[in-house]
Amino acid sequence: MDPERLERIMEIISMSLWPLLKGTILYTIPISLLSYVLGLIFALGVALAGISANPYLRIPSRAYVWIIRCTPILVQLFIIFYGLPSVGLLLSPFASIVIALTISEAAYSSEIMRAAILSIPNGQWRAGYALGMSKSQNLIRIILPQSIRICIPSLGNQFITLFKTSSLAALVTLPDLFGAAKLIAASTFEPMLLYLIAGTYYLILCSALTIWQSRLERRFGAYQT
Amino acid sequence: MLLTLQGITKHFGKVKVLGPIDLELPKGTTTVIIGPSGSGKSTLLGCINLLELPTSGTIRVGERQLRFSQAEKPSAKAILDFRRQTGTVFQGNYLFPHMTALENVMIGPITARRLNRADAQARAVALLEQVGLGGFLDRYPYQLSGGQQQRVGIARAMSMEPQILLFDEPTSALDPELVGEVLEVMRALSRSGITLVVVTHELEFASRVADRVLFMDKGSILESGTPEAVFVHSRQERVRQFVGRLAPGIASSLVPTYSI
Repeated sequence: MDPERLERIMEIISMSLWPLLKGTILYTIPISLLSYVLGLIFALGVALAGISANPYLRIPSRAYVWIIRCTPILVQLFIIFYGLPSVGLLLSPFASIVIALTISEAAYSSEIMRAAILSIPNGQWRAGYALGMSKSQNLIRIILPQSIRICIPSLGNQFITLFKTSSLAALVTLPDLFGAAKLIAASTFEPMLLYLIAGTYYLILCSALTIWQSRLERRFGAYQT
Repeated sequence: MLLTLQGITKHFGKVKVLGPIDLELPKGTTTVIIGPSGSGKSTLLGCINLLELPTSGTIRVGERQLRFSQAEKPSAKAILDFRRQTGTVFQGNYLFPHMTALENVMIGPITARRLNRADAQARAVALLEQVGLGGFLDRYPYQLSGGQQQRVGIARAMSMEPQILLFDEPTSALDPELVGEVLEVMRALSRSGITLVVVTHELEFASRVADRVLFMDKGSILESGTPEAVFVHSRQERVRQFVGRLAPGIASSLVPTYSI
């Protein structure tokens, strides 16, 4: 490689580091956090509805999970961002990506939670009922505290996946980490370089998240029996 | 009469597994239910603490009475109220693993009876001391032996101050060496005047502690009487066969032998 080329590469790297970081801080991280938290809140509701004895709660919940899981999130995103305006609902790019990610996250996380709740042995429910507790008291005091610990590894995984999926924001015109890389790649004609830099950013951040997750798992690990 | 069952039946789908059962238990007595697997013993217990809802019949505990039929089922609230009259100790103990022994015994009064924390705690400490676990208050279930766990289960069942204590094969899943300590606690409870209903295979325990023994087979009560009446003097072949196989020496141990 000749020195001019090397110099140009170094120049592009140094000038793109900050815009990509800015994209991460202004878009990638807030989008991921917001969608994750909202998604978990909805997920709990969807999960509880999914195991309810009441069919008016259970059937809509199962249908929701089925549809979301069986369609690509990109399609869901485009329906929200490009499709809804034609029926009169115009959403900002930021709102669109957050809503799409929330809906998706809620569906997948609800399945994780539902499985965790159902995995608690029936004896735990019976012991609660034998003490005279109602179904909701049982759920809040006995079942959910045990379920949460079971969920932590899978839900941690979900966040890391969500963090990467937030790169879809670039497809609705937001300059997040990937979006900024795309823009600079186009203006400098250096796609390989820019996408490698973006990939490196994701790698560093997701590795940090992975380490943090194992710490969390060790601290809150499932009960020894 | 503390407990009265009239015409209690239980179906699972079309299959009748229990009944009709008519039973009266006086206050302060210890009743032991024995019988082969599948005879409906656990289901009968379930119909007393309403973890199973009878298909039909009437049940009365103390002053509360509930009637079950195809047409009429009691409200959820009535069932909850009724369940608070009974305490149950399970074969698998089902202690709450995310709580200490003390918290396990406190949780019932705090949630279901809305007792304040301090009172619930004082009561729980007293109960755990009563079953001999005063030094183990802050242990989690996984830090306790099977027998200790079961004793916590007994304390927990008593935490709601029930009128009747039900035991569903409390020692069947225990190491043989640990069975004794649990039976000891149960014997002390029986002596202290609490009404007990125990499903067990420990016929020797029954012969020493029970005021009354019920033998069940195929969903009905075949024999009912004092331990001596059931183990020694039963006229029914099925009962003698069961007792003979489970505890061969028991008949002779109950009949006093005199030597001249």
